[in-house]
Amino acid sequence: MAAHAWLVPLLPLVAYVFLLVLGRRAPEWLVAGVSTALTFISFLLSLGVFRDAGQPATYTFPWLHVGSYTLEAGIQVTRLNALMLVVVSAVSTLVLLFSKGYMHGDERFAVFYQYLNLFVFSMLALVIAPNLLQLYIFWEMVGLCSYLLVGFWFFKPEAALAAKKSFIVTRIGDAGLFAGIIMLFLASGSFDVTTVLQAAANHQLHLGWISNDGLLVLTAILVFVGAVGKSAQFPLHVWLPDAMEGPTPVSALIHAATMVAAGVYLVARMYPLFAASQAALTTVAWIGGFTALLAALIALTQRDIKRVIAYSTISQLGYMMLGLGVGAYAAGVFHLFTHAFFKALLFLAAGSLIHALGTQDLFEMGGLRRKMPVTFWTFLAGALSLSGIFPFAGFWSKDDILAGALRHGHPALYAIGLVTAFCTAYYIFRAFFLAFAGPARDAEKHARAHEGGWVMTVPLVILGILATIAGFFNSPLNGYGLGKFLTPDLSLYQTGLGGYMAPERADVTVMLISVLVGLAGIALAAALYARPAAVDRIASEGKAEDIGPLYRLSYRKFYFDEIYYAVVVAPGKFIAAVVDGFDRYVVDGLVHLVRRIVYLAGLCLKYTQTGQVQAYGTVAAVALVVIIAIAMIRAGGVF
Amino acid sequence: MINFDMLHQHYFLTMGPLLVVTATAFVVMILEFLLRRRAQAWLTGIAMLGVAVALAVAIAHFYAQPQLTLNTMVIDAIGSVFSVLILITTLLILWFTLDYSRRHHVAGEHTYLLLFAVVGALAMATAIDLITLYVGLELLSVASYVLVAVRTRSARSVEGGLKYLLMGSIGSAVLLYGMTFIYGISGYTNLVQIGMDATSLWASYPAVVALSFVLMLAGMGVKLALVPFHMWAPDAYDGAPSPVSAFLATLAKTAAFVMLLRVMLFLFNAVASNLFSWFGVLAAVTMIVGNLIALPQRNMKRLLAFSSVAQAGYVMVPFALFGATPYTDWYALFDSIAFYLFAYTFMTVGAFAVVEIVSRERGTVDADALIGLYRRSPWLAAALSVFVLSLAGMPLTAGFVGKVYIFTTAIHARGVWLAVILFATSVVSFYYYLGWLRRVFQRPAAEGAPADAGEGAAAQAAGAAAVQVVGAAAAPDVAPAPAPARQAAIHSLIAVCALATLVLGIVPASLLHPLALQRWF
Repeated sequence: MAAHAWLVPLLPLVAYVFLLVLGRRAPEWLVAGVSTALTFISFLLSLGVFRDAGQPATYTFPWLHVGSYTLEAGIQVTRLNALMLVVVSAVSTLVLLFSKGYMHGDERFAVFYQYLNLFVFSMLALVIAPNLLQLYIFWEMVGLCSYLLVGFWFFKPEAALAAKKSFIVTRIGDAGLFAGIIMLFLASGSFDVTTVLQAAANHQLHLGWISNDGLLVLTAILVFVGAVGKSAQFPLHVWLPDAMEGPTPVSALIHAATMVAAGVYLVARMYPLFAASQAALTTVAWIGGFTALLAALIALTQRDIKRVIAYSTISQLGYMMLGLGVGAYAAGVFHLFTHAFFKALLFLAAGSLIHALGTQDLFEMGGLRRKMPVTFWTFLAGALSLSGIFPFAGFWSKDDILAGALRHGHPALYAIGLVTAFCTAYYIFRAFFLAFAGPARDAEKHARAHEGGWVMTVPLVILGILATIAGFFNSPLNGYGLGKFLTPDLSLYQTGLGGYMAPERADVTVMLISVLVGLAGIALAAALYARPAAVDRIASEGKAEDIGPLYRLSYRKFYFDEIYYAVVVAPGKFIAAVVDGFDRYVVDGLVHLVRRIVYLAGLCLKYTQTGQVQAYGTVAAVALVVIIAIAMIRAGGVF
Repeated sequence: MINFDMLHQHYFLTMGPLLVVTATAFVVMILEFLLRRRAQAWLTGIAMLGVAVALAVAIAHFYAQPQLTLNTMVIDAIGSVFSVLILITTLLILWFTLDYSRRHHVAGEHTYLLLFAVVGALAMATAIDLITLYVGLELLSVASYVLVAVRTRSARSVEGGLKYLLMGSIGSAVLLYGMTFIYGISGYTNLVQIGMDATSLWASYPAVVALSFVLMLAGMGVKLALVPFHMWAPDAYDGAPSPVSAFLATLAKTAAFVMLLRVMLFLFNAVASNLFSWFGVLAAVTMIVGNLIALPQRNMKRLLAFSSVAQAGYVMVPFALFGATPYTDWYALFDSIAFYLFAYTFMTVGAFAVVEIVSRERGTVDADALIGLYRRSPWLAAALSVFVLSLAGMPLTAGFVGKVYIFTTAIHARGVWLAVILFATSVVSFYYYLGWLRRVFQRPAAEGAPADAGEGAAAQAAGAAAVQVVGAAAAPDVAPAPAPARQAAIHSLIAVCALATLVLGIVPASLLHPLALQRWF
């Protein structure tokens, strides 16, 4: 089955080309139908690939000869890649279906599906790339698709700005990744992932100007910089909340389940490289832990439902990084797996609310429990899963990470994780109660609210089920099956990676603490937002009256945007102005001068072309005589 | 007693494609006599069928072991690769003719003359005897002279043909003169035999060898339109029917290049390696002058003529490197020449085809005919962009890969100065190639005006535009706008060329891999 894995990304590409040919006037049912059907087949194929995944299977063909080096293109199916294929194609199928309802009536409906299909293709091709160069190409392509989709409503100035911001900020990370890839190539002589990792695990990476261990740390950090950009980790986290300007299905697919998880995937894919240097792993863990807490603190006070979930995404991605960083490889990947479902669910449920009400402001919602029961119940499942309440999916994976942090000797990170878990439960249930409980705060909008059609509710229900049960894939109940499935990927590389195996038995105390902390967060949120007595307080918070300094600090996102503007953007603009002046007057002047001269030379030569064949003959004859004369002199005379 | 069957196989191995094309040419010639009227498309179809068979034969023998027949014809890597290219080009040109003959009167001789020219070209690719090579060259040349001048009613066609004939004859004479020196000092016309005695002969007669080399180079220079022997090219390209222009730019050049490659490598390698610097001189002059002189051109076909002069200069760069490179590195030189010629063929035929459609629709070959092409036909605009960007050497196109390959081999072989000129003149070429693209995406003046004019002026302008449109429709057109279905031939040709240009640009290994498997010597 692995040999046919190339079909998985190919089908969305076929859908993309088909839609391109069909044009933007195509009927909606055809556009959505073809896209969803083909991606669904991709999903079925992925399941087949996943079932048969074992030893890494690589299929390549020569793509480019550069000097003596042959660049190859193709696919590689490892256990991790196969898992990613399933996650990406599953979420993609559901989001493509959901979008049929959400984007209904949009003028550029077909274009939206084109972009989405292109994204699905790029993302699937990214996860099965056998070499770093191919991975980088698709890494950039998913970035491009993200740019196009965030700015899909480009006539909104915020959307255009957000698209630009997301692209530029992630580019910073991409530059690091590219540098890392080039250094790995120089040090190992190959782009091939297996070769590079083998060399890294055996400490055989070598460059002249740096010690071998230093090189390991440096390349790992550079690769991690790429992951930080893509997965919106501190300090490059600022783009993801703004990217919520895109249509909500895009947020669900790209900015929750797949593309932003690509950073985590990259770290997992290159794990032997990170494992070879403790410093790099520690960096990953602390950046992840810090981001998790920071984003959770910001999410406490946001009033835009999508921003709450966006910060939650950043926070959860931080968890995954934390898991990978402390050495709980399987736990990190497992959290990626469960998060893809419950976060896509939360986004789609939020999309359902936004679609029904036409607003994203939590303080204009309220009392929707009866009007939108499917959204209510599925959102609840997602929220419980995110809060880590037994037995929902998030409980198992989050607990795995926390237990991993303790087991590998990082009590400080465990504490951070626990605080974050408390905040997480609080902010998601704050959003939940604001949206569904209490009286309607905007009667007019409330009156219009209704559940979307089956194309919107079916994906919600499926994701709701997945968010409830996906945790059992790696629970003590099945002996940590997913972890056992994944870890053989690592044991190919001989660096004592045995220590990164999944735990043998569950730590019930840790589980109990996690659940209690989660319940405490929910209880606090309920006390503040669900009691009938809280109506007045909510109203004053909605009007943003007399809020304390801490609240303001969180609400203004710790002023990161303002600080970045002052430190990076403003000086950048100044330098740009100077360079622009230089370019305009000095460089352009020179270019114009050269152009004039060249053009003049062409004009002169044009007049040699007289049109008279006698002249042609004369020129040729004279040239021949001159050439002969020079040749004879060089040959040392005629005789 | 000769084993007849063995003999048969032997002949077919070395001369298979040549025999098939010859037979097809005779069949087409006879049928043309019999059918006379309105059978042009059928004749072209038969010719294409024959060439396709020949191509199949050539591909079947692609990796054949080197073998010699009658001491004259040979099958080897050079012969195989370039035979395939020549036959592919022939198919493209015949495809082009298929469309052209529906709209214009084409002389009956057109198709079979083309086939005889191809026979000559194949002989140039596979012969290793100076006499046979020369006969092949003359067969190609004479057929080309007639093909250019075949529209006897058009003064420009006859003028172009005559100029081509005069200059071409000078070239042939000079080439033959150069060959006589070689024959004079060695007593052989067979390249293998001369090659065996080469070392001693060249040591005894350095001046004669140099003279012979220079004369042969100049003779081939005329055929290849290298500067300063290029001046016939724009007149001939402009005067000839478009398929013939494309033929001159691609097939005739490919054949001349392969003959030059074979003769020069057999006769002058190693011992007279210092002579190869002359290739470098001609390459440099050709790249510089060809690109500069193209800058002020407004006539699209003449611009393509100068562009093809410049492109020939790029291909000459690897030739110059043979002298300075050890044998072990020659593979890269062969590969880069072959790759560039493949790329060049597709993008040039495609560009000529688009120019043909545009000039037919607008009734002029001035570059301004391109204005607004994107609005009239996005598909043609996209295809032309691919060809033009490839000719200029933008990434993701075949032209880029070809140029980079030549560039890197030049750097590798210490021909840095040639690489620098290649790069600098490519930059210059962007100016005129992008000039075309600018026009393609430019709005036609009549459409842009009403938008920003005042109300009254807008009404006036709209009226004027309407008058223009009506006028254009009413104007007696040389060829009334054909139904889209009848355009299928040329559009599919453009599609194939564009696809090939992109495939070679994105997956160069699709050609480089088969080339890498060839044993060039």
